[in-house]
Amino acid sequence: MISIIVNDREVTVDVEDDTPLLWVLRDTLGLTGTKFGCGIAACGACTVHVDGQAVRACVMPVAAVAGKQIKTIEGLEVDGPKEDRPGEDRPGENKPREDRQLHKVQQAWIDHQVPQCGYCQSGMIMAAVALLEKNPNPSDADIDQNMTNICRCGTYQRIRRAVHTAAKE
Amino acid sequence: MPIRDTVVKIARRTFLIGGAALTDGLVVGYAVLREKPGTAGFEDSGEPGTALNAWVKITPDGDIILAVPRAEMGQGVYTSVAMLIAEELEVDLADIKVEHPDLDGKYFNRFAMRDQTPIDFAPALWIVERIGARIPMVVTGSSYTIRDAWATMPVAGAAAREMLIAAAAERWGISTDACIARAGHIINRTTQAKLSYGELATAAATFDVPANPPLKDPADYRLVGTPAPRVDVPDKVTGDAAFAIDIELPDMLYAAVRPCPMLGGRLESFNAASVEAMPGAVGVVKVDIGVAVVADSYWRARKAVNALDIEFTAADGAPLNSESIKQNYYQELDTPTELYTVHDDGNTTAALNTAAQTIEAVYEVPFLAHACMEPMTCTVRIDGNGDEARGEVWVGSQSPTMAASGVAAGADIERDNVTCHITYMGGGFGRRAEMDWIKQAAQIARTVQGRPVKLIWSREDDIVQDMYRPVAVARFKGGLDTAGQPVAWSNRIVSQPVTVSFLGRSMSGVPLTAEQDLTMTEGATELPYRLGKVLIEKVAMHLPINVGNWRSVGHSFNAFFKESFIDELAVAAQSDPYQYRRELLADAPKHRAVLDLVAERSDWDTPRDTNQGRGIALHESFGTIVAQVADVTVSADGSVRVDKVVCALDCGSVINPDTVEAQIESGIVFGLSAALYGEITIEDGRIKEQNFPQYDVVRLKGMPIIETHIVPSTASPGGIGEPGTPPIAAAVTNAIYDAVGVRVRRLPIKKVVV
Ligand code: FES
Ligand code: FES
Repeated sequence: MISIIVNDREVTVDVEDDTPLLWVLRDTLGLTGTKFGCGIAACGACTVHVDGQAVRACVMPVAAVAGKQIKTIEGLEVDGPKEDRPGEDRPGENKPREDRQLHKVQQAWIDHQVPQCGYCQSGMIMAAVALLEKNPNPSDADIDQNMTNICRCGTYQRIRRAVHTAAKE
Repeated sequence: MPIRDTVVKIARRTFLIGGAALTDGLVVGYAVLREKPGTAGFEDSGEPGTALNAWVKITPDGDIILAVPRAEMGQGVYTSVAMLIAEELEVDLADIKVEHPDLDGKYFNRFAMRDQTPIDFAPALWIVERIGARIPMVVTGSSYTIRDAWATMPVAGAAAREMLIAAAAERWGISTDACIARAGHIINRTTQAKLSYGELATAAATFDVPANPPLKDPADYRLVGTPAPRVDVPDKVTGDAAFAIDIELPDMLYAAVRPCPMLGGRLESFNAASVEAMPGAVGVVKVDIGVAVVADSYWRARKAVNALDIEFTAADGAPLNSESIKQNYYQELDTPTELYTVHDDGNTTAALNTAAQTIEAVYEVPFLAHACMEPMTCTVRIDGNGDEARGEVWVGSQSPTMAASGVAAGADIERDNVTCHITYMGGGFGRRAEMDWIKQAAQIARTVQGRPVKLIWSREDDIVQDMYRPVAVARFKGGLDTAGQPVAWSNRIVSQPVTVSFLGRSMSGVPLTAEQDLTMTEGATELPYRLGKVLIEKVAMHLPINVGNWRSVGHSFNAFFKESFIDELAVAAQSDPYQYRRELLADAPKHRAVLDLVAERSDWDTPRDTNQGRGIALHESFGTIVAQVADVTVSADGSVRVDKVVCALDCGSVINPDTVEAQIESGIVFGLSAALYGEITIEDGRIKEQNFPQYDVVRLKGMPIIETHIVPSTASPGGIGEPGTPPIAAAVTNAIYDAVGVRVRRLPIKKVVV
């Protein structure tokens, strides 16, 4: 039994210690917003925050994050009651979309119409949020250096623009 | 050509149908009447049938619902189709909800799933063109979705509008001419009275569907042609969008597979007992090219299958190697075994012999993997046995027909008994038009009756079990007259026929010869330039390696070959590569306009710094003409950085310019990844590059600035998903030549030896 804190809620999971955080999030906790792309920390699709740092969850054994604060794409929205509602995997999930308040990075992603297939975008957004928390006004070079995630749909140009927009908020 | 005829015949058999929705209201959609296809490969019940595809529904509550089975790979198709409907129906885009019925759901009769699903029949064109046979199947190729929807969806919207007008006119006792549709209402022109669509929907359904409803003049469009936000984007920034990998069902099991690492090799034996005691393991299953473990979680399945004692045997004969395959290609280039003449003006050799100057060059491209961001994933549940057995599949497939066939083949059940749930796709690029992984999932699921099993391929599984873009080698000979103008152009292409390979594994029994397969020379034969006498030949290679449709297929290599060689002719003629092309486009005004636009917007004539270069390329594919100018910097160590790409295109009418821009950028990045890094190498019978970053792609750090400029047009729309990809490799290698005088004739570029 391992306890982790996911999106401000403490959960206890019964899995082998070496199970990557990615599969605990996805299969045990049903938080499928975090994606699997390579399994070897090479693509960033699985990016989540552990104690505020961007981390590739596919190579992070769950035992290594016991007791730590984990944030996933599902925990990014800034609204929402933090208590559970029936049937909700995330706070505010069953609210109508109009009442949900997106993180400024998510909003910038919509404003710039970034996603295409969308599969890489949870990881991209988590990487961008982590970057902006460290560096509130990154240059293109900062973005290029710090965000090494892969997007096979090639949405990089819009990602750069959206990060700049979010930085201005 | 017979292929085009087939397409036209299919298209003519479509008709509008409409009537009452199940819960009142109005439904108008397109149907496809299909004859018995009489084609081998797909057994068919024989009766003609109708299939309702995309349609629009207006409920008495005023909801306007566009029902389209899922086929979204990232190309913005839902939004574009919704825009076309909204335009004619006179509603706002925001008022249209997009719904995704399951394929055996209440809207589809049994023919629907078999024949036609996403959007309409015409995604079928994408595959029909590649198959050249009358096969009743539908695949969403991103380039064709809109080409067809353009023709049909506005008519459906207009028909619904006319029926609503008829209902309003009757209610008011006035003529239909006295009514006008605006913003979801019918307005009485005289009294300005209004009735909402919801109020009229049920009455409208009692009118006949007009066969030829009047369509708007494109000059009056208020929505089509404007940058509309995509309907699928909000769910893709919150993690809500459900891909195949996200499917969760009660009682679900998970599967991981270990494919035979040797191409063409086989499973010798495995020891199931070696993993049965592992936590959560439920079973060990032999599948076509390997062994799978089923467990109660994906990670447990993965660990168990990795721990499994398995013995594989290599294929008979000497192991395959990229090096020897290429040597073989070069031998065939000189002394072909299976040579076909695809185009011959006659006397090309004579024209070459008498030319003032002759130039010769050979180019080469490697195998490539698709590497969709989401590895192949599929959930299948099988219930029952024998004729009664039923299957259900949840998968991101470019082809629901293939999905059903895959389950049927893997579980040995009737295709009609398979229900398909098509999810969002984490990239398609041609890979998800296959059915191999779906079949594999079904082989596994049939061993655990009644429980859904989710098969997730690792990235390694995904790459080693890909259907690769084939190796291609081409030799060109060009003859120039004393003024440097081409008098002869001869091009011989050696490659594997993609469609022959595709059909062989997917629909054995559908006959197609390498000669009929157009993929090897697509993009090599339709030449807009004045080149004198032209000879195009192909040499078919038959290798035990699966090759498949990779974004833009044959165009992906033929554009590189052709646009490199044109550049070499320009150099030989001591002419500017832009001006040289421009002169040769005297008979192709549309191409010339695109070329001129890209030259203008890229400031073609401005000087380059040391080690910087600018290259140009032009290529038409899928009805869209694209020109690109790349600016590159070549460092002292030979590494290449693409700084900027300016792209101009003529894709006919533009439905959503924001989507066009996004798709063009996407196509460029896809082609650039291949040009700079993309290579699948076979070593000792195994695939060498199994994951990122060995199989590397462009990331933010290597991302050029891209500018896209669209030539205004009212012609019917060309594709946009694929045409951005073909020209980029040549634009970059031509720029490298401009920078440092080195001609790159072999991809990937990797490093330039200066
Ligand atoms: S899945 Fe974790 S980095 Fe690729
Ligand atoms: S949007 Fe498709 S991989 Fe990034």
